Amino acid sequence: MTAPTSWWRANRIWLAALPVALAAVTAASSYNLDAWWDTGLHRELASASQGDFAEVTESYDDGLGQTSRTLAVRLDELGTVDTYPYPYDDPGPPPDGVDAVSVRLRWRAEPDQVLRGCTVALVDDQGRRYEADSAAYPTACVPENRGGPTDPHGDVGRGEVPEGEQPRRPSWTTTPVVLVPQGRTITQVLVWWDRPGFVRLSVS
Amino acid sequence: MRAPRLTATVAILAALAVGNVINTRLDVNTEQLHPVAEEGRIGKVTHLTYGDVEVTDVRPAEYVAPRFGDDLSPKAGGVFVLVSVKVTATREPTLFLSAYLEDSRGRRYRAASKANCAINVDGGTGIPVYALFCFDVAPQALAGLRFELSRGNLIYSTLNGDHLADVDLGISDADEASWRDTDAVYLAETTSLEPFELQEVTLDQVPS
Repeated sequence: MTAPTSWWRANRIWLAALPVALAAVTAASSYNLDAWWDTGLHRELASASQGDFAEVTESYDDGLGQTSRTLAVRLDELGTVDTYPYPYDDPGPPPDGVDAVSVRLRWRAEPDQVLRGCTVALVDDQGRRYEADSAAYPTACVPENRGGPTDPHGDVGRGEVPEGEQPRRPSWTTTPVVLVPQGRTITQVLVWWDRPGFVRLSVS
Repeated sequence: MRAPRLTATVAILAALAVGNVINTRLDVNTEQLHPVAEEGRIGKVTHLTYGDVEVTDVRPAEYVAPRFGDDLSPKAGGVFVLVSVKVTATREPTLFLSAYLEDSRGRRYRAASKANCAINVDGGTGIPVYALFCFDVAPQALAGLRFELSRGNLIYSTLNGDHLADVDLGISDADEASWRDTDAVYLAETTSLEPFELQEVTLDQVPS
């Protein structure tokens, strides 16, 4: 006569599967985690110290499917300027107690890379982030009137340069300006196109 | 064998009961978390985890005149309540999307789009933004109004668990009685990086 099988022993396979099932249920319910990941800056694509190029290749989806961009960017210099290009007003001095900080960036990329629509931000030693106004700087990462191809849309295919614009040169400089309260110590410059990926450039 | 079978039956029934509670009481499609209110008052800075909010002025108006163009000045259905606010994002650029008035009966009022004042505030980090919100409020709901401002949520249109400035506008019953009959007219303002003074104006009648 054999010993009676215990409940735990009889159901050991299901018991072992239980943690897996719980993990699957949690993953299936994690849309808030997806939103958090997709809307924040969580994935460092590349980094470099001031004066050195950060080499970047980023995969992303455009209207036609998966593609990528490859570029190199270098932080040359931070400075302050007297006027700020207010998006819906004449250029003028920054508000009282605020500096207009210019960010000189040097870029290298093939002319067919889509680099429009980036954001440039400064981060201080307390982790506070200051962004260049996208309305003031729609071309923070590309030369004005030579921005290179746009993302495909309508009848515009991948890699097409807008009508009337010359192709972008292989290297260029941009200098967006960011409003920063006086007395803040800037330690990093961040550049990104599609969150959560970003490029980190350290300020020395 | 009867005891384990009974245990299994009870466990299955318990699992069904727990599942039912999860599906009915914890429906993910309903707003689960109330916003976390940080109470404040006029002239005092309310500190949120992501920004500072200060109501600097509140006053009534019958009309809010457009700053530009030849449009006629909109008249309040009740009374326009003009709330001047200084807002500063403290950690990162922040869109203060959700601005409401709440009356003493818990009814909420959106900013009146016809007044052409601010409907939200987009603030750079550490840079104060000055905004004027204009609300059209029933005359009998003025006393006890509170101004509420928070980030809100563009995706889900809720205030789910957000930190919210909840500022008592200090409108008394006596204020309500006098505000009902206001004939004041002010020029509309939206948002500005510089402080502004509200400008009282006189309207010209349009020949009919």
